[in-house]
Amino acid sequence: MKTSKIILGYFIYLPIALVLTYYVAKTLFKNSTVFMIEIFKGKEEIANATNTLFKVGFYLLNIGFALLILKINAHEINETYQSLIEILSKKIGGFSIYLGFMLFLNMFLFFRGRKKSKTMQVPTNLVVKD
Amino acid sequence: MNQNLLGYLLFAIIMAYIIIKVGYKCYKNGIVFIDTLIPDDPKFGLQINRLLLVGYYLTNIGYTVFSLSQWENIATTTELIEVLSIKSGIIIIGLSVLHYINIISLTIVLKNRTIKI
Repeated sequence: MKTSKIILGYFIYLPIALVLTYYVAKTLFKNSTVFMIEIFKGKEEIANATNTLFKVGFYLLNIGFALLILKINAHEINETYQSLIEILSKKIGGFSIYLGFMLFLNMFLFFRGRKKSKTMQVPTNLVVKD
Repeated sequence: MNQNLLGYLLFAIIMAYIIIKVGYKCYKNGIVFIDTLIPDDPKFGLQINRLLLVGYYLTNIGYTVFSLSQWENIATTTELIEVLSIKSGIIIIGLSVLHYINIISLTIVLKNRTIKI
């Protein structure tokens, strides 16, 4: 009985965490192409490459973290649905907050890159001509 | 079937999918950076890229196979899911750390190059 509740918890937690990660990554990296093109001064090839690399890193980090915090200890849970819901809400809420933090970190990187590329306008233009 | 054997099978399938997919994406997108760094010799760049891919495969497949030897005995399906997710989670996070180190070093190399010229 105890283990069946834990398995039920896993089967609820895993799809929610994976879909959440997928949705956040899709939204973030669909809109970040604009930033990337601005950072790399319209060179679309390298902008798209950087965008894809950041996307791969984002997926790996967050799915890895979601899998790492999956385990529900047997002594934390009773046979009731109440404790299952409490544990699940703790896990999913914590993961959402972590995901939001990662989202803001990525956005911060994009904004910083844009600012830096704007201030470095003159030397990079010289390099492109070379 | 033994639960451990089932676990090894699932683990191998998941990790092979992730490793091959990530390697292919990095290979496809990394060639742009190498071409930017070595603009005059595309053949040399391609060879470097291929060597990097081989190194990546060796590191990851080696670690994955090595971590198979350290599994404990699995009795129930619950334990199977837990062990599977924790083991693959560790490898995926390790992969992402390596990946971010790669991105950071690429950025540093690109920046140094622009300053020197």
